[in-house]
Amino acid sequence: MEFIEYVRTRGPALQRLGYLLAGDAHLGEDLVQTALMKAYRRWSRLREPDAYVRRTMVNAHLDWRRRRSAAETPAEAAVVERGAASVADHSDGVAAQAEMWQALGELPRKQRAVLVLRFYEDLDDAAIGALLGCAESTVRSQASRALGTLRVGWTRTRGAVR
Amino acid sequence: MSVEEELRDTLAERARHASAVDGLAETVVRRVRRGRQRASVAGAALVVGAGLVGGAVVSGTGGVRTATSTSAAPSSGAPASNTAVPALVGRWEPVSITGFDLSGADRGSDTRAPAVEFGRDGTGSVADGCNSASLAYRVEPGGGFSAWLGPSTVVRCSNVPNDRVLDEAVRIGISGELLTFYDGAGGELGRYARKAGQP
Repeated sequence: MEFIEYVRTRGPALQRLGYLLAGDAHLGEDLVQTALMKAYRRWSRLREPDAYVRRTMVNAHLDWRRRRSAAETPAEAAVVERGAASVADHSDGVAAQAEMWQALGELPRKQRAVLVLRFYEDLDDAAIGALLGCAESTVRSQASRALGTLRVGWTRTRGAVR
Repeated sequence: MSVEEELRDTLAERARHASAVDGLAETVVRRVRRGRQRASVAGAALVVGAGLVGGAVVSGTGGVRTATSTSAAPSSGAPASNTAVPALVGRWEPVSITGFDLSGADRGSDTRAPAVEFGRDGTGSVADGCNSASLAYRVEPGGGFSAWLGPSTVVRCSNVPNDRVLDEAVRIGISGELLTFYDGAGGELGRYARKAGQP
């Protein structure tokens, strides 16, 4: 498959993945373009271009987040600060998703990537480990911590609603 | 609903709102080519200043590396120099490339068969079996070598990475009909044989 054809076929899905990884439309777009530019330069030598592009996107996301890590809000603190935000003014479903999206954005870099890859891309732990360059056990522990953090905020919010 | 279910729904819903940018492929290709052209212009400026010995060299992909005449000498092959450039002129076909198995590579048509060609005027071309690109090159006293690759098509096949060899090479050695490229650490990148019937 030629590069142009690949991007036209897979571009929309890559843009969705970029947005979910970055949590921001512009940053997501940057992730996609960064990965595609790298892929284009070596396209003729890529055996599995889609795996390469997704791996590059995830790594770029982790690198960006690493550089920005000083500005990150600790996840636990974020949960406490967000606390029982008022959801009474919204429908439960919309408010719950807004809460979940915010909480996801406050997770540490790798945890967010693991959740996006597991719950959006539907990848198993082995595939996620291959993309992140870590062991399956690390994927499991990152997912467990991330879900634990989300669950704390989730339970707190649900309790406040009821 | 569990946290996992809520998370799955949230991601799916958010993904639906992710904007799809039109012309993504064209944008990417344009950005890469602009980068290569900038590198080519910078390279040409260095070629003009040919009195330099060693110095900064801009690679075909926009990176910067240094090719100095004091790097480790190649383990074999007589180093080329400015006066030896005529020995480089001609068409060369890959015999071995480090990290690449040539046995299964596409041989392509005559015009795109895997080969590197060097002209007398410091320009040339490189083909990988499916794609070809123009290049500019420079040979320094002591065998220092640098090349700048132009835009290329990106048809995918069992492409021979001649472009990578040129991109990473900082030194060449010519021994008879055999041309060897070396990286900055003196490691062999690839060996090429002069195409029969070429000067």
